Amino acid sequence: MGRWLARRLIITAVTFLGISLLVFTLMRLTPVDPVDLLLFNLRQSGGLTSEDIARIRATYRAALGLDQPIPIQYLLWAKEVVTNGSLGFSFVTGRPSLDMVVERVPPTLILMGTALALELIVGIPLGILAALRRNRFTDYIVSAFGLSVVAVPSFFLGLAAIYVFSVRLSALPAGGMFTPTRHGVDVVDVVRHLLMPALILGLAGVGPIIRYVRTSIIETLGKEYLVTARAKGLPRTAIIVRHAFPNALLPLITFVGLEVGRLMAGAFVVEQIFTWPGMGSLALDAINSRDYPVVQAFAITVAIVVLAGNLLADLAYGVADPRIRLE
Amino acid sequence: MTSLDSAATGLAAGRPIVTEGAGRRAVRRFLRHRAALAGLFFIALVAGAAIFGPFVYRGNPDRTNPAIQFTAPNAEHPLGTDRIGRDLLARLLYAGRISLAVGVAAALVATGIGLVLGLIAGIAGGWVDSLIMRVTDVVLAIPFLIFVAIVVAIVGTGFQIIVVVIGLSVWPEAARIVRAVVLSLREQDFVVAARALGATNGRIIRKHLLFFALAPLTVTGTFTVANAMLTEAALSYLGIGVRPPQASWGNMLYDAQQLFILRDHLWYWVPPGIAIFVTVLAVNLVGDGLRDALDPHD
Repeated sequence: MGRWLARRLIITAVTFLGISLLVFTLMRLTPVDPVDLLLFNLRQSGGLTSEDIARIRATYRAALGLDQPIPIQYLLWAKEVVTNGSLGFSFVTGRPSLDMVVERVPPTLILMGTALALELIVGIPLGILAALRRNRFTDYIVSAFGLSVVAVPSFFLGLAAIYVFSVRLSALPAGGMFTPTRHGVDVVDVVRHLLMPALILGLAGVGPIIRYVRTSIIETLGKEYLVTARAKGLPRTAIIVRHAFPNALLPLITFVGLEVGRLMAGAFVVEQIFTWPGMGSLALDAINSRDYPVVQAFAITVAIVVLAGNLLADLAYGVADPRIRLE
Repeated sequence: MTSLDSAATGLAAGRPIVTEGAGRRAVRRFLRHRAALAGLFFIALVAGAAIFGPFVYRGNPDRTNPAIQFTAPNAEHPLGTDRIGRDLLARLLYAGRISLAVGVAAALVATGIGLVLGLIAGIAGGWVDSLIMRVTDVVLAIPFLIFVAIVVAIVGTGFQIIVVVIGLSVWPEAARIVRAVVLSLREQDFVVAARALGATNGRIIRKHLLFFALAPLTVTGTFTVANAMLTEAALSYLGIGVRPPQASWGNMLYDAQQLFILRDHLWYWVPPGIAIFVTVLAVNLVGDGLRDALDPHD
């Protein structure tokens, strides 16, 4: 157990190191020099000769370590991240970029979590149904549904949902997280705002879950221990519920871990459609206004959420199925 | 090596026999797959419309005419016009070219990178293998739609950039598949024998490994086409993908973010949405059919 755990942790740490290198490299490639940006106002105000500007520029660059070779710059950057938790300051608001992203994390996690719960609640029963009615009409309908939800773009479905439920029926709010006129946090109000984005974000994941559960149950039902259970006269329901489900559904934990990445990318789009105030909307604004420190903080945060999701799923699977730890 | 030899080694290893007949059998199994045939039919329909449509329907996708903005579908403009009076049917047809081209080109880039890195990882082994696998971990840890969005923020956007960046972010799957194939075959008798006979790595790859990697690569490659099309559409919808005046199915829906267009001009945003849906569904159906036809385990 100890060795297996250590191995998992080390792989995650190495991956995170790789991501930090990747993000750092991407940010070096940006056409904006933070010092030139700082000096922009100075230059506008006039009164300074170009020599003054050049001297100030050199001082700033030295202070920020920008005159160092790239590998040293990476170490300075990493040290700044580790010791001060700083990923730079927003070009637009001047605030620490990481703070700006972190305060947008809860709405995104609420959206992702609800979507995940919905897709499991819808997907698992449908997958089981398709497996038990294998190659019959019900199976074809369920599988066709699974294929369709994967193929429909979330923004098209989102626009259609807004058209039907907000514009035509006036049943649900078209965007945002709260009704602005209300005071305090009203749970019912938030749920009404959450319903459409979470359903649409979750729907795209239902297809893979159906396929996964269906295959897994069909495979498990053919296993010898289930033939034995049937041979000794156990009722069909008991065989399926007591023996087939636990064995077939356990690998779904790994699937959920990988799903975190898809939900994250999906949220990036869905938040935009429904003006959900999560980190995706913030990131798109930052991308459009070339606010690189915020983009950088966003990239790192996304990686942390995805890696944490994968790691948690790995650990949960290891606890649930001890065989995994023996690899 | 003759096909008989490879069949014999396959038998010895407990794998199904793969002979010259395998290709024909795969085609037969694919043709029995009704959903995949339907998919193929729709792909032909969409691709045909995108490629030949503009020769038949001679509307100009870029000509603006403020006098006829937001025209509902009529005889002259079968799908109506957009907010600056451009013909929507013409734009839909040209957008189809862009969307299909992005999907296919990005899938080719990804499969190419994945094939090369997967072969290197599998054959070289050791630290080279570890390094490449850790790189796939890193690339997979940032969801590729987000990765592409970040890169676009830095290098700008456009058709070529979108293709290359999507390709650069979805290759790990192909690489892992090729590596797994190489690892499973590396110690097989026929590869060891070929090596003993003095075959170079290049020859072993060309004559023995590629054949086995081809089937799973074709399957993932097909799904990658669908994923790349969805990604391009989403980015273009967000305004950071293919940029107007060039039309793509995704950016045709961009305007529908405005409430009055969403509410009053359904013809404006429904057709491109359906076009994406039908095409992606068709490509996925073909992918499913290929998987069933090429998977020797079934």
